[in-house]
Amino acid sequence: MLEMLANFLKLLNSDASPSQISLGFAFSLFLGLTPLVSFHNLILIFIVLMVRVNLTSFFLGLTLFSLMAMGLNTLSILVGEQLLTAPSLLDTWTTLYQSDFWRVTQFNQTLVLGGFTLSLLLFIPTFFISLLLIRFYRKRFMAWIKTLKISRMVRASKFYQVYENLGVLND
Amino acid sequence: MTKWIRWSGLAGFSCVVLVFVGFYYFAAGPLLKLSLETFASKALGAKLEVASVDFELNPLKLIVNEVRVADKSNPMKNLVSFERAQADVLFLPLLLGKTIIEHMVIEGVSFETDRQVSGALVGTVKAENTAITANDNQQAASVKPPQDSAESVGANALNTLPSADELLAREPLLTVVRGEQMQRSLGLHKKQISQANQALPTQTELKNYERDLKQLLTGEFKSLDDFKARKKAFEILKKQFELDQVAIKQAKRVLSQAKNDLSQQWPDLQSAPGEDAKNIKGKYTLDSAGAQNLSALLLGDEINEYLQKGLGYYEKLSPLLASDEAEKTNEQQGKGRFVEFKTDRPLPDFWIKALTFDLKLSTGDIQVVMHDISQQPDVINKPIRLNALGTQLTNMAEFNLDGVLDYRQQKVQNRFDFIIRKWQLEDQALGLAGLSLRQGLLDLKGQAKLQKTSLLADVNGLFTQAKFASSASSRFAKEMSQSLSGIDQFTLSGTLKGDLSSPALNVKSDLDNKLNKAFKQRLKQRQAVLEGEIRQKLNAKLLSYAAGYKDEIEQLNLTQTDLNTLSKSVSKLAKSELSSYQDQLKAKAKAKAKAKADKQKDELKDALKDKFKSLF
Repeated sequence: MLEMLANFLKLLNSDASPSQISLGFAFSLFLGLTPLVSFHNLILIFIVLMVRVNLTSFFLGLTLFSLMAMGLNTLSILVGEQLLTAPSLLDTWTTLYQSDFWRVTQFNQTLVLGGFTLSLLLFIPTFFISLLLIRFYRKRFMAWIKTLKISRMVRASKFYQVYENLGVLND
Repeated sequence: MTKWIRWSGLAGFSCVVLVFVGFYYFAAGPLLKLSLETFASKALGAKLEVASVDFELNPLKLIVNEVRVADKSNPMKNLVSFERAQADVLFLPLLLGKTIIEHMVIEGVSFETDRQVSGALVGTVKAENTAITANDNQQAASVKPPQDSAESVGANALNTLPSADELLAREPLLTVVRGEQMQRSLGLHKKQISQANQALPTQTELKNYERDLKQLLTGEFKSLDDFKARKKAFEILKKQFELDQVAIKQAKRVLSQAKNDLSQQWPDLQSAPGEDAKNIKGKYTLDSAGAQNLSALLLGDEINEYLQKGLGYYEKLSPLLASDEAEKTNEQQGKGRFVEFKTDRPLPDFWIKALTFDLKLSTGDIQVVMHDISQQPDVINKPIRLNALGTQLTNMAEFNLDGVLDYRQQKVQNRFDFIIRKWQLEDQALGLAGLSLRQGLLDLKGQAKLQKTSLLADVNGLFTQAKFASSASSRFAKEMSQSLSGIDQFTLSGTLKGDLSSPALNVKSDLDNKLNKAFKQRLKQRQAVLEGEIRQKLNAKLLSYAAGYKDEIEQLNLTQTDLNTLSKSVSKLAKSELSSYQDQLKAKAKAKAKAKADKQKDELKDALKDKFKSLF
């Protein structure tokens, strides 16, 4: 828990670009809300590693959304079920089903499709909300937070030192 | 744009992918080899050895080299072996855990080849022992026995019929059943009679009764009290007599029941050997009609052996090919489900679209092509199709087998058609009197249908250019050889019908008619001997039960006589009566009065005599 808190504070107080942090956070939605071992997640990991998104925010978001997924899975399955059984989409799914590539994506799995759809819907809002919150925090609260005792304790902890040293990796 | 690209991340991802690919390319082969050898050997109970497993990436190929599967029951032999198997695997379905093989080629398939090292698994001492025994047996089998004489071969052929002892041991005999029933009844009645006997008075008790009764009935009553005491004792005795009479009646009833029961069972037991002999005779068709099937019995041994082998393989493979019902429910709680759509590209868990291999036989190669092998035939909606073709065999012009194995929707509907043209037969022993088919050509055509557990098959064959020979010199063999010398062609037809585990094989041939004549005479002799033996043994069994019965009936008769005597004695004793004391006093007074009157009469007589004397 202390690790996560240190990580979070370090991230917010760093010089990392708010848009990179927000993008990492938004990308983590897909991995968090859909089954981890999926073809689209492999592509996503490739994108996350290749594009300069903040990896710390990505992993933090992954932890957070994976916990949320425990409650959201039922909703994801319901969404997936509705989409896959919708008569108006039947032809589309049937066409995709003929291709081995699309079968590999497991689009016909209710949790995968439902989770992916929810992630898509939440991607833009998550990106902009987290962007706004980070900017707001840095402008209004960052200086004050740094003066708090808990913040100093965290900064003095060995975990924080470790993250300080590893911070280079994110750049 | 490039400022958005994280080159270190790209390099890291590439490295991970390369490591995975490298692992599959270099390490997956040995790992798969190890897994195959370990798990398959355990499953088969004998060594499965693989020389190497290789992968090719583009297109994805799996190559397995030199596979040897040892025979569990004979570890110095390979059950099956092949030189190389190459499978073209589809890559994308593999990512979904589906093994779809477009084409698989197996080269150099052989059965029952010799091994240099025992194929028994380490630690299975029992299997090793079996190997040694099997090896010994093999060596023993390789030493051919000397050619049998016609007499011995003929006798052997007829000895394939079960002996009288075997038949009697094999069949549930009425003689035994009824005999044992009789024994049980005897035991039960004996017990009941014994219990009834215990309630009867003994000879000593009877003598005591007589003595007591005599004491009570003789002598005068000395007083009224004496009379009362005697009367009381007499009443007690009478009550005892009544009780004894009841016991005797009960014993008589038990005895009578025993006699009736045993008398009823005895005729059934007496007739049992006859019925048994009739049943056995009917069942094993030892009558002349049975002779017609004897040639089938002799020719059918080899056919039956092949058949059992084939059905054994079929029964082992059949469960693997049937659809798995459980797979229909693929939804897991909280994990979602796969929604299936109509497709002409189904993806079962395992599917070999085409499999070709050559069967290496001593007479040449047979090319086998199989299509659509999957344990989920409902998913691919296709049956398994099989074709085995041999056109360059040394001993036949053509061998062609077509098969369809359909396990869709749990309805097993399998069909096989085969054609064999000009099968050159040489030195085929007929198993009788040293007779053999020295040479001949056989054309065979047949079909078989398997529906779940029932089998229906028929085969029609034509033997041409047949030449028979006999190595025996007995009269029987000569007669047989003589009768067959004029035959150069004959037909053979067979049917196989019934449950898969024990189908009834019926082979017919017009050769039967020829053989039948010769057989009948020998068979009648054998039948007479056998029937005689059966009857003799059954009668011996009957006698063993009869002795007990007769002894017991004799004993029962004696007991009945004793009971009758006893009953008379007790009845006689029971009829005795005790007069009353008053009667005794009256009788006494009467006798006294009578004596007085007699005395007066005598005195009067004397007085009258004296008076008359004085007158004259």
